[in-house]
Amino acid sequence: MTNRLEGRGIIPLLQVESVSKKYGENVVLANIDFSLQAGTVHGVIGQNGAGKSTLVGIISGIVVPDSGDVRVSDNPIEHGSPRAALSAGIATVYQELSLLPELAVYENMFLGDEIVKNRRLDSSEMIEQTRALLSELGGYGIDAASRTWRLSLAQRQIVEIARCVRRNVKVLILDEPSAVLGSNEISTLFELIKRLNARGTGVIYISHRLAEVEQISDQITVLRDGCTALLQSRENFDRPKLIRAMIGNESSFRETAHTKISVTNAFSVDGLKLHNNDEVGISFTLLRGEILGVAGHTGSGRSRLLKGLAGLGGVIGGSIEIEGVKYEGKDLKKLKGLSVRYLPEDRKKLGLFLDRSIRDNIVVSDVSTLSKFGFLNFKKIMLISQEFFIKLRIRAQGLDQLVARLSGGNQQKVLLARTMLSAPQVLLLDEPLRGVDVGAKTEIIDAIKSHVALGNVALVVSSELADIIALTNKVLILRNGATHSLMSKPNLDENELALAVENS
Amino acid sequence: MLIGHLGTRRLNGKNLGTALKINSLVKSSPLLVAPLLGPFAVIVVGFLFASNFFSVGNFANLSRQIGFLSVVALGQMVVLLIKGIDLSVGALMTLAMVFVARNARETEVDPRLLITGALFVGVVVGLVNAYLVLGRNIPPFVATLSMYLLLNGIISIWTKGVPSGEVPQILKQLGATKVGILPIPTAIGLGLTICLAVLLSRTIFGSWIYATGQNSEAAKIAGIPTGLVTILAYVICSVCAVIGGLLLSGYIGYVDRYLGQGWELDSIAAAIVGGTAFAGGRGGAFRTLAGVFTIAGISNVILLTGADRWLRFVSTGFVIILSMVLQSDRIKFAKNII
Repeated sequence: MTNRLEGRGIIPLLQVESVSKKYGENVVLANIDFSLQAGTVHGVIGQNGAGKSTLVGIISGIVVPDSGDVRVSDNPIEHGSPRAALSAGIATVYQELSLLPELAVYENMFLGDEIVKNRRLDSSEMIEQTRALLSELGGYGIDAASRTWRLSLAQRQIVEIARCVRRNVKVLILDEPSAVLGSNEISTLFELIKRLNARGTGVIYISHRLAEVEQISDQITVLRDGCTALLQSRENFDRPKLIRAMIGNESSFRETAHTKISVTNAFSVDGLKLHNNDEVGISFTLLRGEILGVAGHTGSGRSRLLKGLAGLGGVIGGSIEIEGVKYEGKDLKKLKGLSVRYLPEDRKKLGLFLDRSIRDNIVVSDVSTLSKFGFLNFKKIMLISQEFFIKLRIRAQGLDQLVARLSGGNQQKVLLARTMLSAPQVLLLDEPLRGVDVGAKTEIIDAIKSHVALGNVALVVSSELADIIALTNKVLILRNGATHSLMSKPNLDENELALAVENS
Repeated sequence: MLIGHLGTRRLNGKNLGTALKINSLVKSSPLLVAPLLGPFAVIVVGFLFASNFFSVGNFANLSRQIGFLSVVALGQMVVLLIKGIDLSVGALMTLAMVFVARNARETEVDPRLLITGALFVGVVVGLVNAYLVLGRNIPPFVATLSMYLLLNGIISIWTKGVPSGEVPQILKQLGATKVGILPIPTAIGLGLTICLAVLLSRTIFGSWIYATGQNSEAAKIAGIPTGLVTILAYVICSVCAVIGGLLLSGYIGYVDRYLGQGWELDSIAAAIVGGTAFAGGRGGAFRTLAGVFTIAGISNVILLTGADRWLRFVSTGFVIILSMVLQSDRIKFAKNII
């Protein structure tokens, strides 16, 4: 009886009723209602800090709400118990995948729930069941017996989802599933989601990328500042409205003109070699005020190029020239921290000191210049970090707040502030816009452009071609650690660029 | 008039401001306050169970113990802050004592020169520890454990296991005299606490230490000379151990190979009870001093009450567990916020 009602959507599969959550003074969720019908996808979008993660946390039992209820098929779920949520059929696949790379696919599949026969693990039975399930879900070329580390990221994600399916999950939460995937892999993922829908599984799809959410969802909830800003169903999706609901009125999309101060060569790279097979090396020249986008497939050497230029090693030969001063490959280490500044790709692992304050994180690279006889000059530190805090519109309670408590976009702004603090002539930015919401993205793009407009140059690596186009018209496409092509046009088109990268 | 004066002071806006600040400090950072619970508990228990806890003699005794341990524990804290650990401090303390005492009896060398020599030995041991950790990539635990065994071996061969040498007069004076009401070792401990507090919170080197301990990979990319920071941290720790050892020998008045035994663990315990994160990057000098008070206070109270002396280990172990639990709660709290 209940099942039939569910099927017709009278009793939702999952219902979240007036849930609120506060951390100290900070209201993260205010009276949120949310529901998911069986066999559908409910997309959740919102800027970093809008409350998406907290909502997911509450549904999956990791976060205890201050008030409100979570129900599955009308049965209330105990608050703050991941186990209760799991046994009610709620499972979450996080951005950081939780598979153990050294185990075989089937072992991961049955981890903690192994099939035992005569007091021994029954591997053949587990492999058989894994195979059956994977092929039911579409196969995707995954061998049930192969080691998990051999799989691509997309395949691993599929295994993770299959693991949830095996445990009879009714509500599957995908938290930023596409962040690590290429466009082909995303369509594979969507195919799988549709199959799960057909089995009656409800999916909550959380992402920064509006286009994707629009494509896959039956309903979209927009969260902003802990409230439901908008709820739309598929038949009346309206992109401008969704964007407006997401970013509110604080900022708007602006097009800053590419300003060039003067037409002198500011930065040139000549025959830079990242490995021995590259006979010619990478060469390009940037004028003052120019930004170079660096594109290519993963592993094409984008990050290696930036690291090399930052003086972190990996350069075999070649030279660079900054404002007429030439540095040979081996001298690049001297540049570190002077006129060249580097923003690493993985901000949490390689960039930030999560347990330190915003101020400490902003000034850490420049304490030597902000001190006298080895003692820190707190007045100077205060002034300069305040300046960047305002300039980059970092949203936090103050400079003393720990970076760990900031949203992804604000963390990225802190790191960018550190990179720009010394007013470097050359900015090397590796994926500065990854995992950053639309609002913060616009602000970061503006900040990069205005820094460059002062007569500096920047190299920006991004796997999102739209981001590259938003920043620049000059793109270096790499392949196997060497130049594939250099595109430079007044009006670069995303499709054109995508094609060029695809063919590289 | 006096009452009126007091009344205005109580309503004074500035005081109110301070009170509010302290209140928000308690709220925002339980870790800053938690280390003070230890000394508080020690004082309460001492007051209740040990009649002579507050006597002048015991004050000198306890404060001297705090002096010795704080010197060693502060050095240990610096190494813990960069995500290291130094198990060789106890053995190094003994080595320094033996070095000075043996040479003082057997040679004519000026004791001041011998003390300088002992400090130099400390620098060398610190450099070797840092070389093993940095240059050879040996985990700090293993590197300094080997150093502990090595130094202990040297000491045993050298002393043949019997009390030996003669503590120079200059050290005995340091151990026995007072400045005002403070025994000299205590004054040195407090002075070092203040120096390290300033070093950590107000200098370039301090900010480098925290950054290196929190995320050495990110620190490297941010342009911090993490290698230099690591070397200096181990050298500071070893030099502190030498100072602590020499002060201790001066107070006790003789030297044998057991004097430094267990100090590596006591110094780690004190630093951790004082809120230094075992995983690096978090901790402070004054908090460590509170940890030192707790650890030294426990033995003191147990000695005074005449309770079974092994109870000291039971209570120290209990206090460490308790402080780790408090810390992990705070970490969980932080994770929830993320």
